[in-house]
Amino acid sequence: MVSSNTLQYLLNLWQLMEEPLWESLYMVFFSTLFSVIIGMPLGIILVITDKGHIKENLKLNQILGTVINVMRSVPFIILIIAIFPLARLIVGTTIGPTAAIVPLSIAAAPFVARVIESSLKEVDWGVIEASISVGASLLQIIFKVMIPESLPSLVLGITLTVINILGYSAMAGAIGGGGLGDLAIRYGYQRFQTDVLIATIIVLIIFVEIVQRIGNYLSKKVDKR
Amino acid sequence: MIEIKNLSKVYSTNGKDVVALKDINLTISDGEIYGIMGLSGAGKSSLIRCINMLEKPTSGSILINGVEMTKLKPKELRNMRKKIGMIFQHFNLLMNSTVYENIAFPLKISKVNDSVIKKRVDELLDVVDLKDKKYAYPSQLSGGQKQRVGIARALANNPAIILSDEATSALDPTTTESILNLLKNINKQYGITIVVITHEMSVIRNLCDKVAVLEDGRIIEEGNVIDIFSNPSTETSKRFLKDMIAELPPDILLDDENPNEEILRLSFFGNSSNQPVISHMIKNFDVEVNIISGNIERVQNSQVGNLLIKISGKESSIKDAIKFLENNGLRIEVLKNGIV
Ligand SMILES: Nc1ncnc2c1ncn2[C@@H]1O[C@H](COP(=O)(O)OP(=O)(O)OP(=O)(O)O)[C@@H](O)[C@H]1O
Ligand SMILES: [Mg+2]
Repeated sequence: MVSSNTLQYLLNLWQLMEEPLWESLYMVFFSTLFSVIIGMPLGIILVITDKGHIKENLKLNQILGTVINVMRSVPFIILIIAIFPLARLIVGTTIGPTAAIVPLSIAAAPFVARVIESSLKEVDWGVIEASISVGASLLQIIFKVMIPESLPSLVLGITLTVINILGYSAMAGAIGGGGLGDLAIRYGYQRFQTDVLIATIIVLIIFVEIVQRIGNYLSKKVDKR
Repeated sequence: MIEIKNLSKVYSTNGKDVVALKDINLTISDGEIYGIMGLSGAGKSSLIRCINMLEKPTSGSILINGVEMTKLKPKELRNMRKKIGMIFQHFNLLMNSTVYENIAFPLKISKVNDSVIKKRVDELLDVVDLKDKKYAYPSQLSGGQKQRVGIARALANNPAIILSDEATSALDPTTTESILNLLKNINKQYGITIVVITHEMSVIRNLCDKVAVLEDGRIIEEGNVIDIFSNPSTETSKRFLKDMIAELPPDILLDDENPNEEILRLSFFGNSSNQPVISHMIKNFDVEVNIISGNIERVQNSQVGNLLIKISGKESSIKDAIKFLENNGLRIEVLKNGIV
């Protein structure tokens, strides 16, 4: 039998966590969405401007590659602090989950670009040539050949992005972004409520596990190769 | 009609130039099945890929039905390509799309409307005999079936020309035969010009009307398949024909200097194989004949025979006998050093 005390305890814990959890989900969802919206075109450009590809442009490729590398080598916490002021410009505030979406999206975009790049690079060149030979245009090759052909790998890449952004979002919490990261720091670190810290970690683990499983499932489902 | 004039192709990689094609001149008429053969690295793929501009020629011109391919704007080139189907050694199908979607692909690219696409794909599935695989994915198909999908895809836009780069090289002999028959039927039924690249002699023999032999980026021999089969004039073509021509066993090699003995390769085709030319020769001239080897093959719809004989007698008799054979429509080659 679970005592009513234990139940009450769990209920309190849940009440404490409910809002931060939704905040985290909200941040992760929109940050993933925007980082993919920014990163996807960059990843596509990285691939098609590469040597021998459908829109070779080595200069653009090199510049873009360097910018992405630089952004990726700046520690996330620094990046996020540097970009936070931009949030005021875009969403009108620098605190709370909505504000955090801005730096999260921008920080994750270069990562997404690389993930998308490596997925699209897997597409067999022969298939691209076959589509050139039937008169496909640049956009048709990208959207009707490269993306559908690499879909399983793209799905896994985006899964990876979601999990990464979850990690980033915990850090965003540290500087006023809200969410589970914020909760863990306020209660677990500043107030020494270890149980809250552990509960947060468990929730995060469950979240990662669920996302990864869904990602694997979807990737398999779209993979007919 | 495909007219290739003074075509050259040079690849530059890391500052090094590789000359793949040198001054190629070639005319392929409508409705022909034209073979291009040659050893690995001879430039076959480069040549066929220049026809639809998958490779940009370094110099020279390519006219397809009078249209200069090398000077087209991107959009014009894309429209031109819709009328030139291509099939590949490794099929190059969309692996994440069904057979139906693969065949519909060129039509979707051409923005054909859906109901027309449906009808056309069903027709094509019929042509390539894959009706029951309509919703299968390429990974569920055999090599031969994959190539049939490739062929259907190439046919989708009703092309005037089909380019085939080693389309049967990844297939076993039986499957190869069925694919070749399919190509032959397509050529007959729709009058589509087919350009075939291959290093397999059997493909040329069973499929092509004409053939060009490439070596080091040049055409070294060109003409009707039957002519080249019955009388190859270059080492490369001979090497290709090795399976047809017996190589001389060392013990019958003879002294080239001896004027009273020669080894001859006789080639005969069409009607001459039905006449007792050899026995007439023995009767009429004072020579002796020893048959070393012989065979007859069907090339397209004609017979091509090859016969290796040792002929001995007086020098003048041998000369007269050879003249007699030539007058009877045979092709004669006097073999030197036992090289066939
Ligand atoms: N993209 C390329 N870049 C550099 N060199 C190339 C390229 N493609 C072909 N070559 C070179 O051009 C020459 C002709 O190649 P090609 O592929 O046309 O030969 P092939 O006759 O088709 O040979 P195979 O029977 O092996 O397919 C070769 O020396 C090859 O190394
Ligand atoms: Mg080749």
